[in-house]
Amino acid sequence: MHIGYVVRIIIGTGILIALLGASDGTEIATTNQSPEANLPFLFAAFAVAWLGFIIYAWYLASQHSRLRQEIANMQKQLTDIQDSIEN
Amino acid sequence: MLLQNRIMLGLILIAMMSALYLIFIMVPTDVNLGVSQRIFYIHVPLAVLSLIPPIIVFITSTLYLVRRSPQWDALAHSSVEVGLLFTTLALVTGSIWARPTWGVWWTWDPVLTTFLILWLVYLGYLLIRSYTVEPDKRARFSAIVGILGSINALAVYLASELWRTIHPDKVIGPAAEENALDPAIQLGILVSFIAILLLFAYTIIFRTRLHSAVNQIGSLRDQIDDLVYRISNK
Repeated sequence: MHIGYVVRIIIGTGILIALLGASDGTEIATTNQSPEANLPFLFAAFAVAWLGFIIYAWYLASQHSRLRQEIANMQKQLTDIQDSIEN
Repeated sequence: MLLQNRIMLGLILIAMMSALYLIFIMVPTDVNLGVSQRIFYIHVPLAVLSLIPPIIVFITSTLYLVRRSPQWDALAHSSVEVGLLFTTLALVTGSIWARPTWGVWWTWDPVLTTFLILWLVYLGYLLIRSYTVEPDKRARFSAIVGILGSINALAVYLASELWRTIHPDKVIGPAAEENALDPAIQLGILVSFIAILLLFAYTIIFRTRLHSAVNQIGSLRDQIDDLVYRISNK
């Protein structure tokens, strides 16, 4: 995927977060619920962080294997050309 | 896989497992914030480490402009890409933590706003790279943006001193108060920080290696083109 599309998706998400924040207003209050009530937030935070790392690691690994394949192909192509010159 | 890679990945795995054990089993639950306070152990290292790429970018971009060596540009680009990941995750985890703590997903607090600007700077840097075709021009433009943008990291660091903020004070690093945290919490944040620092370092090294592979492809392509030209002119 082209980096431009990724950047556009990220910008869109950022604007959405900013709008969500703006629509929530400036009212700030600490909740006095039971400790377990916030469990979904804890789960969401760790899930997002791990998912972020996993997706980026997958992206790097796929780029790595693609580049390795390309290098191998080009080395073979180079050897073939050199052989054809010598013969 | 190289031995160094295996050792590094092994260390990351051990550190991550230790951090998860400490975060979910050993550290006490905060009386006021409840379990959501445990987001602190992932949000703080992510936010602190988001301020390291601007330092790397400032140094490497300056070195690139002085020496014009592509290795400095590669390191700067890798740092920005990893920096964008860390900044995004720090913003998202912070937002998730803010909801049960402050009652809002987002507020235009100086610390949060300067941090969002840092995120936008990283995006701008990557956009400039993706839309500039010529390699030398791309590296030069992004080095200038990198140097100017990295100054904003100083504003993020000093935001709590310069402006009134609802964001908690620094709990780790040179500007943190002594004994600001319970010893168990200190241990939890230290191990979590080490785990994420190792991941951060490994990701930057790996990303820089991809740049080397791209350069190798360029060099091979030049060799092939040169041979094809020689054959066609025989």
